[in-house]
Amino acid sequence: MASNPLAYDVSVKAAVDAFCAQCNSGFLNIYSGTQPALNGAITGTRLAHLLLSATAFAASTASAGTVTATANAITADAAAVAGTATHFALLKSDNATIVATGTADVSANSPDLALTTTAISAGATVSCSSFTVTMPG
Amino acid sequence: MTEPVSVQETLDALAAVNRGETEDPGDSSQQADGEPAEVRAAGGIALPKPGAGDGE
Repeated sequence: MASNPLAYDVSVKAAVDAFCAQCNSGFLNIYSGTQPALNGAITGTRLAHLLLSATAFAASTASAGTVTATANAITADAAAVAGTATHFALLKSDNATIVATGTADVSANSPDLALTTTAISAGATVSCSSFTVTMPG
Repeated sequence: MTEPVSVQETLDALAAVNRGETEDPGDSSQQADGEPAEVRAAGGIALPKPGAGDGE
């Protein structure tokens, strides 16, 4: 019989909340260069350094078989240097341990993190209005 | 009728530009107020379905 795993909401919510808790007081950093491979070290130049809330994500919710957690307020940052944004990383509060990485680009290219422009000027305010973590059940 | 502009007024205006208090039209990467353009982000990540195989 074909595989048909069905993870129940309560279990998926626990997994998503545990994942998100790793980001408490952590950071959303935006970089130029090349996104590192899975479990690889940070690469590229850090352009922006956005602080996540002490409770980085609100408790997840389940809807139609998908669990979603939405980030609480993310503090904007003034870009330290100019560069072309290509990827981002979620880091723990030690600003060293990587939780996850993803692509950063303009929305037309369907990135994980959509930017109004990838050309970031030194001193430019970089803000993030929303960030979600989702997992299907 | 145009009012005469003093040398001091001209110097003050140039100093304001240098302090970033007024627009510097020569720099296209700056907004009208002299600040770099703001970059806004939004997005997220989708974690893989737990226990997902190839469905075969």
